[in-house]
Amino acid sequence: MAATAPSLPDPLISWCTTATNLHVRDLVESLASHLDEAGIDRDLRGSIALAVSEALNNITEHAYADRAPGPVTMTVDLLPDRVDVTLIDSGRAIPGQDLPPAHLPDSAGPRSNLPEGGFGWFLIHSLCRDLTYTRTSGQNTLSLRFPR
Amino acid sequence: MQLTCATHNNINVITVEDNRIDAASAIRFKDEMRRLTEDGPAHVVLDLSGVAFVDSSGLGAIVASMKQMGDGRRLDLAGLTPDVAKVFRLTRMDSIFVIHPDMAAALQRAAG
Repeated sequence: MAATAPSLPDPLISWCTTATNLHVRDLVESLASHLDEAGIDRDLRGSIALAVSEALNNITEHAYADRAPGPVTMTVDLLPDRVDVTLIDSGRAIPGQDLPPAHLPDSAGPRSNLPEGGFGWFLIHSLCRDLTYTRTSGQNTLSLRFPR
Repeated sequence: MQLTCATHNNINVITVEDNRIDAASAIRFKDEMRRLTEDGPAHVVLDLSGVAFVDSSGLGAIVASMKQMGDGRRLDLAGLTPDVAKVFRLTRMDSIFVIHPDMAAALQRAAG
């Protein structure tokens, strides 16, 4: 039986940190280097880093809004046909306990009306194939699936 | 967040020296842009060739930088790296800005 190549990273890896903007930045950089070491191609790596970054920013800005920043765990599962990323936090639930829709803010009209935000969920929906959200025992679990 | 600026042919060229504009740096980016664009040429080009990553907060800060310049003034972008170009394309913000492949092209276009 062939041995597993020792240079390849573990297929399943988790990080835990506190949901602040600077920790999110570090987490996204760890994710990107992990995907790079695993041989995930540059375009997919960029898409995963962006979608996960948006989801982590939502946790920082909304789940832990008006309270002390709490923990967030990111688990990355490298499968032969896809990459699964799971984010778990202990903040407040997404309103309605359901995923916000993939709504692109309207950029028509004069310059003064151009949107400066509201792109996050649109980007997450656009960049990953399957997205699931569950709320159980005071925890939010968001799973993002990216085909390879 | 470090930005540097220089004037070429009456164009204010602002270069982003950090490799990312994200939620951790978006507000400082916008403030620094305000400081660097309050006076000077009406035509500003933002050189993003050294920026590998922009998230939606960074995108919002770039849009806000253009809005705070006011009407009659212009903010172009140059040198978008692949992941940055993707954010602009997906959000259709690539139709709002004039985007040059690089600074040389931006200055040549302005001169011609």
